[in-house]
Amino acid sequence: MSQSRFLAACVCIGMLVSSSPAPACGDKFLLLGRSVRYEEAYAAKHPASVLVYSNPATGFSAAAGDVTAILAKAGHKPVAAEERPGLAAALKSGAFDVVFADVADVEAVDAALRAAGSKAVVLGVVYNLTGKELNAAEKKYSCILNAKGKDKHFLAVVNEVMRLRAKGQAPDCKKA
Amino acid sequence: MKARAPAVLLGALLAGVAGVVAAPPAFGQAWVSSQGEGYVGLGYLYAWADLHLNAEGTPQDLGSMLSGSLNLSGGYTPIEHLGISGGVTYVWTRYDRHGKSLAVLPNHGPHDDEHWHGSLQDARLEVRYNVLEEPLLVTPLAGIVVPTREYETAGHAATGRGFVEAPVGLYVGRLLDPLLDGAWVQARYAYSFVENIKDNDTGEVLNLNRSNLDVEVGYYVSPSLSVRGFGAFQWTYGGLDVGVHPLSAPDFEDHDRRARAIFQKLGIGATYSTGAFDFSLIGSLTLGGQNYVRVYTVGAFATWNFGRAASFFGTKTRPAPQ
Repeated sequence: MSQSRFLAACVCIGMLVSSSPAPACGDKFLLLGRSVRYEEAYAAKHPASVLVYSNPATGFSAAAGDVTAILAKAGHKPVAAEERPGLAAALKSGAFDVVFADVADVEAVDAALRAAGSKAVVLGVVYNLTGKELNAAEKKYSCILNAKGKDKHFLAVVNEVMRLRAKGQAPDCKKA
Repeated sequence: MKARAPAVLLGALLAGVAGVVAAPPAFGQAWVSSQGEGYVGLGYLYAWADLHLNAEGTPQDLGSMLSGSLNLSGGYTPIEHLGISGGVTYVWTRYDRHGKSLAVLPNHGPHDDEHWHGSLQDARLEVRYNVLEEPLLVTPLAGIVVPTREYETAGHAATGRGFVEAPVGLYVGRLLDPLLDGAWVQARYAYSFVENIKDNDTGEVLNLNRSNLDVEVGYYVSPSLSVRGFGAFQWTYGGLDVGVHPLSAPDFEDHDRRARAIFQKLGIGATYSTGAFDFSLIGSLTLGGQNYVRVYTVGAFATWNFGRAASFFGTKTRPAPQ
């Protein structure tokens, strides 16, 4: 028996003699785990073909790059387009399920989609608008996302659009 | 007393004991990364146990148990829906008698000398397979935990329990949208088959199998920043009740690993992601328990993500034709 074990045994015997109950020490360790990563949680169950239209004259152009990267990371197929010629060329190149555009460009994008025969859902993005401008946009459109507000989880919105499309439905984005 | 050498590691794996149990409250995920993605992580956890909880859950001031643990882990998704993760932990422990004498608070293990003792602890492996994505993620798990060496299992400052364990169970989880966009909830239930060990006094085989339930609720403040709260609960189905009645000499020295440990813990955490790297902070406390300790933990964890995850802020999109 090693010295340490001998000492431990002596102590144990000593404790027993004094009738002290054995304390519980237990396993104290808590293993650290990763958090659920955003792109894993929102990984596209129904991958969407997404056109991200940015007009350098509008606010959304500042966030379009991040939006495009996050869409790609989640498993969607984003295509980035800038300005009207880029938009027209992109619409000619393939079909899209969803289009992201600054709310100021929604009407122009809608027109371009109609001209191209596309049934894509346009999600208008508001970015750095004043409260008055935001109210005006919300009165005009249903399908808008506030890039700095409660709608920043736009992947959830894209998932919902795709869920509806899988059922042959589409969100009603036009307000009376 | 030393843990039995784990020559069973290869045997257990070959025997098809799939996956590892993440040891007492370890936490994996209902979500499985996409094929080809993986991570390597390094975390440090400091734990401070200030009170013992006896078989009736009554706190007892019998000195503090301090520990630090360094956990190296990794994970990979070799095929879609199948996640494999594993890790190994190095542990430092120290017993603090609170200035009381040996006569008042005697040692009951070789490491209880109020000095730090370090040792490699357990290795673990877990396999998860996602079988359902909607309306709820359902991901069964199986695993194995194996002591890496014959480390110390007796005393306040024991390195660990030194058992081979095989958990099987289930993760469930889901995002909370449209109720609350950006929030998630998940739970892990595991039943662990724990290596047999006898009651030294009676010779009876103790049933140390246990159930662990871990529940987590989280919220993405932004795609890069998430916060979460979690609970960890354990029930052990058999084993010795300690701290109330004196144990006989044969059982005393190594009673901790035989204890019927039950606990309830709560914790919070936050994670910041740069895409290629994630940085997490975590803290927890013990609400209650039996044959256990009241332990507080704080920790930090960093992971490097590879595969598709590493390009989160990259420019992988194709440009529109001009």
